[in-house]
Amino acid sequence: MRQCFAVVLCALGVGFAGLRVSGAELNPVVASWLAAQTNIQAWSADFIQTRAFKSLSQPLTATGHVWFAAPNRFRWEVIHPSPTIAVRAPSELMVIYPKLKRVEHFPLTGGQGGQWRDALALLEAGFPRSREQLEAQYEIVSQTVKDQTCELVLRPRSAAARRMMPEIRIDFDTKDFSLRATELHFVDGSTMRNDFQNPVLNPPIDEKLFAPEIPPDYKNVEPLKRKQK
Amino acid sequence: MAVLICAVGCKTTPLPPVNLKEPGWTVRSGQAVWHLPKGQSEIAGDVLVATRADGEGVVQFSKTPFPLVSGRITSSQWEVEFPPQNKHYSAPGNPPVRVLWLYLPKAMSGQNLPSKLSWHEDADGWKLENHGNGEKVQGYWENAGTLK
Repeated sequence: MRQCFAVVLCALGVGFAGLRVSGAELNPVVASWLAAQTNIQAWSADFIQTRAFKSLSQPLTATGHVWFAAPNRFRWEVIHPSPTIAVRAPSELMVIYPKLKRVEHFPLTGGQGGQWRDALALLEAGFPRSREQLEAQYEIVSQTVKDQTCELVLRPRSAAARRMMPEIRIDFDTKDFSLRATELHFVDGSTMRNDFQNPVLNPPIDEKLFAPEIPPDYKNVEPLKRKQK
Repeated sequence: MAVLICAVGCKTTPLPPVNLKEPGWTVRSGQAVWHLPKGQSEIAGDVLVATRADGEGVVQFSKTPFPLVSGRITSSQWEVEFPPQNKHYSAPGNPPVRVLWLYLPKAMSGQNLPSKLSWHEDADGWKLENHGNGEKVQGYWENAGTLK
């Protein structure tokens, strides 16, 4: 279960962590896209999240908004159907469930053990600033350009992350290099795709977005911390 | 979790994907907190449960984006998967009481539960609990009805 929590954290940031690459010959389009990442100080977009489970013949969808600020802060806010907010603070990831009046804290520093630390490393680099940064996290499986979209298929280098999420796909626009979609493939065969809409590059972002005030009646929990007997 | 489940020697045919848009399915989705047995830990996530009058049921519990529990029951067999542990179990008949998640569709559709389990639902939410090991799931529903 701890391993699972760990990978949860990395995947919440995968839209950004995934923007790092790996692997052999880089397609020039990918190289240009990586170079363009240095211009990104902030970014926000709406998203449509589509989940496909093996046991269901129809996908499930959710909608929300995402904010990113370099080097590694983000806020994912699922608005519909069930509100959930994930915020990457300097030393922890907070996942807030307003209707459950609950906040889960996942420390990003300290002595938490092996596998989950590996997975968390995927979170910490933010938007890629170089090929090296990308390759440190991922192996490139394929780079496919079709029409105006490049699809990168990546495999996490961390064995712990791979056991839960063996593959990540990233679609970006080959003209303006904007992020179009991310698609996470899980070990059970299910997938989750985020399609981004209405992106805004370098918008002014209120710092409070990354430091949400937690109401006093919310329960604070650290799922990775075993309860003392 | 894996060792809690007895599925030794039980061979079943994998159940096909469910089309929740077919008539007869009632689908509910919301959020829940899963308290592991013996108070080990607890984690919140998104839950979806679908039930049908013939006893068939589906349950999904995810910590977005990761699937944590995926379960199916029919009148004659059950199966459950725990992707984080890469474990899959299935068998004919009723599921073991220790696989609490598979009793959520049964509880919601008003079926009798094993004596160790209790079900409570009111306007504030719902709770399914195994009094034998302290495991429980409690949450709320966002909706009730058929899949649009």
